[in-house]
Amino acid sequence: MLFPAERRAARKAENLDILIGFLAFFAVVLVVVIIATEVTGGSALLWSPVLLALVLAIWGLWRLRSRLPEPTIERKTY
Amino acid sequence: MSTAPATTAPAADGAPRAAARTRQRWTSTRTYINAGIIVLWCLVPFYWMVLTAFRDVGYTFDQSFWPTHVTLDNFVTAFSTDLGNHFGRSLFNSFFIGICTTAIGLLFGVFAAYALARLNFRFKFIVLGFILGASMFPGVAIVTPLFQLFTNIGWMGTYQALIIPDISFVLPLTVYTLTAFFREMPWELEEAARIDGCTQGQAFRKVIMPLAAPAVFTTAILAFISAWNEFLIASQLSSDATAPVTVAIASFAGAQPHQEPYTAVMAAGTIVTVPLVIMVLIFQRKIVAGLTAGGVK
Repeated sequence: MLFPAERRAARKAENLDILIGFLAFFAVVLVVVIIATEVTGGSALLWSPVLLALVLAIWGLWRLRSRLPEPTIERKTY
Repeated sequence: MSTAPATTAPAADGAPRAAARTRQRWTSTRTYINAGIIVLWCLVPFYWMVLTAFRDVGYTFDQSFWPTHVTLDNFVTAFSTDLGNHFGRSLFNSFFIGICTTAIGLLFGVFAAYALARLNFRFKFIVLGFILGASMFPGVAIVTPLFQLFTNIGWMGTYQALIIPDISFVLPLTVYTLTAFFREMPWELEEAARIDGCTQGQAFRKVIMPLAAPAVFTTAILAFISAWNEFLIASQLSSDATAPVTVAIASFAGAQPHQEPYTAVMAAGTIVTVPLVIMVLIFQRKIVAGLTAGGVK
């Protein structure tokens, strides 16, 4: 059983993880777009700053996240 | 044996009680009025579609709210291959695409949802966030890349070119709905199965899955409806032979040249809506049960 404070922290970690995953999806999409644009001779100048902003946001969230406990389900599976 | 004396309500109580009763009656009346307005708001367009479907083509823009000049010609036009309306085949295509999408989506969705809800592994919630991102990705953004990709590999106008993108739209829906459900299932059931000698796979197959049937069923219906209504991708990637109903209706031709076949479109729309309405009416209890299953914490 988790204590309420621990549960709150775990819940916060869970939400941060979901946010990181959400941003990571768009970061991956942008990486693919930028590679495709570069390979086909297009300009990736517009996409790159957006990717940079996303990576910085993910890094910041990751730093925040590392201070919180690992979000685990309350019972261990076998 | 003594009996309790019959008591009468004091006269002073009568007025507030009557006022409370009036207030309660007014509240319930207001609820019914509001429900009626919502029902009308939802059903009037559907009613107008059915009405126009049965109206003679010469009276398409007749504004009468009741059936006038009733005919079945519009349904004949909708199915008429002479006019180039391949509605019958597109109905089959829609069923085929919907069933394949639902089956494959559920197959992957059930396992993914179970893992996300019950197993402990690193970055679990990051995966959940990733899926959330995928579900919010605008479909219109992938139409051109898909068109190019499927042209390159020779998949244009094939069923797989329609089913695979549909699966990517349906999967997040199935994973999210089923994760919420699996999270709420009691752990004791799995533990009891394990004590009885089941492996984890057997516990999932023989105990969890039968109990998750309502949620799986609900998810299947939602996935099917989502695949059935898909238009954007299908309009670009399908051919005449594989077009689903949404695309077939959009390319309907009228009985006369340059004639907009509104009545035939309404007839086709009525036919397309009927399976969904029947399905929802038959299974509405299960749908509601499945949707609310993961809601109570």
